[in-house]
Amino acid sequence: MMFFKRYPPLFVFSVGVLVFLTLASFLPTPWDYNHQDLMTRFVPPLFFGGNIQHPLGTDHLGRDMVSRIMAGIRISYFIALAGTLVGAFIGVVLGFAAARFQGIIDEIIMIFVDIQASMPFILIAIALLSVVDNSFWVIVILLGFAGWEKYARLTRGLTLSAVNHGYARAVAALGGSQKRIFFSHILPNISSVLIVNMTLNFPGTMIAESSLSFLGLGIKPPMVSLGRLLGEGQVYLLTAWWVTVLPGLIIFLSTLAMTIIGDWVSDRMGTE
Amino acid sequence: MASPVTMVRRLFAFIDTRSYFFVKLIRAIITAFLILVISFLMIRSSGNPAQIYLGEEAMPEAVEYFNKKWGLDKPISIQFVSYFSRAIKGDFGHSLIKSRPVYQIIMDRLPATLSLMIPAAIISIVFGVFLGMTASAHRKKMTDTGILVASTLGFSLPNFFFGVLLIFFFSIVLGWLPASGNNTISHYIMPLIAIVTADLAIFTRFSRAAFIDIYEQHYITGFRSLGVRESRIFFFQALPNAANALLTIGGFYIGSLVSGAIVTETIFAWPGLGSLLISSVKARDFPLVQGLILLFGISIVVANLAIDFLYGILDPRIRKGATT
Repeated sequence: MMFFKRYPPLFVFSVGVLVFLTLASFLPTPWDYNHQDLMTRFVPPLFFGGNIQHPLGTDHLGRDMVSRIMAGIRISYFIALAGTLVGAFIGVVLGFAAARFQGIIDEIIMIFVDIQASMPFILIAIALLSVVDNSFWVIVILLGFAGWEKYARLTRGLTLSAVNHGYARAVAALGGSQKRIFFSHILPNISSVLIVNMTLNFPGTMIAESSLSFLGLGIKPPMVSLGRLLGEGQVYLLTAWWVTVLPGLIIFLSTLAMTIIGDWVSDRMGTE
Repeated sequence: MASPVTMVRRLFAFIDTRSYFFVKLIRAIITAFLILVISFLMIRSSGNPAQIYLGEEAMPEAVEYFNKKWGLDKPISIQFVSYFSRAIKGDFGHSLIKSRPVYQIIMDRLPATLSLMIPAAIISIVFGVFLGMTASAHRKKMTDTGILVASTLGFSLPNFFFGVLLIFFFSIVLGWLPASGNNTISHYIMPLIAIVTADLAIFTRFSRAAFIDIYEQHYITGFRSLGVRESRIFFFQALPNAANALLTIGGFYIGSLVSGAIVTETIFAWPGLGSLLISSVKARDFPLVQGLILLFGISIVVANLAIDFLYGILDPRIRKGATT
């Protein structure tokens, strides 16, 4: 019982869902996710008149939905994670640079932070993707740009307050280099805030990727992401609801679990 | 007659360059300018305009004539200046596919988008504030928990998936509502629900936190101890303060409204600007994409500036405080 007092059941369940989906997506499958079989098009899921060979049915090209969803989870989770890390990295570097150099550099970086904060991610993504090819890493970096400004703002503010009052000054007075002050003193001190922001940002990054792929601007075929599956299947909603609804449910479950975890982490870190 | 330099100096002596409004105005101008530069570079980096317009196998004479006609043989800085002056007048060139001026296409589609966005914004704000208020008044009771759970669900439910679910249940299974187009009032129901859900959740969460924060302030306790009526405290203290707090997410909300329009219009085949943007990106109709990005971008900048000004007018602490 102590365990559930410390970690509420909803939180444990959310972590369980994410761990289960991640691990399950790496299991071997009888079909390749791009294996087509036009003889078995639109097979419904197991309990809706389907068979055990395709427990979640097949799509318009007879591709196995279980295998496709698993591949989609792998790619969607990876992109969301990588995008979050890229965003955190860019934000921390620029935020620290703004606090460290101040003056005109600070002004310029903060103007870009303001612009990024006011422009919706989809608009920036569309502007870029209309001229740049939507390759895998372009999407990852683009998602990094979806949230960097929050990290930049946090890092700048926290670094400024560290530099102005207290420990960073003491270390500098003792002859510590700038590098040492940042990596050994400021970064560990602000890391908890950054981690909270990362968990809060994660579901947003996942939704951003899914909406891009849903609109047909994200991951390119033959690669699949959950958003891409949902977008492709929408056309067949009338004949085969499972092709769209199942990947959508996985996206919803994932973002919900991530939101619950994010809320819990920020509550906990906030109270301590 | 004073020299131009002294005139500029006098002007800047007259305007307080560190004032809140001036800083915000300058930033908005810089942002608008950057959007113009990016949209200009966007179309330039998309390839040779002559080839895009005339096709890959155009005659060299035709390409030369085209370049001369549109000033493409001039240096890039001059091209930017002429692009800039045309864009300010609303001249964004011709669509490659519809062979009509971009400005006209946008104006044709604008009413459909506005007729969806304005009701969506009003519903989200009014109901969001009301729900947030109700939750904060019944804090830690069933009502509060229910509203919080619902808002977490609404927040995590991606609008594109929710839209698809709505179509599945109400158009396909039940056959009650039309799935695409905007001809009748019943066409508005599902797109509105899809857009409002996520925004409503955000406004509910935010105003709940704002009201809880306000009612914990000492001056509210002070008013109560003086015997001021609760309704008076609500209308003259809590509500204005909450409205002020809500303005801080106003800028964010404008952006979310635009991306909501892009996604929702695409799902429901709504003939507005959002679906136009997606279809023109897919068709590689660069002038149209450029015009739409400019329109969306500049509208967001102007709306943000208006919100910042309003914020400064309503809250003297912001106006007189730090400039950043």
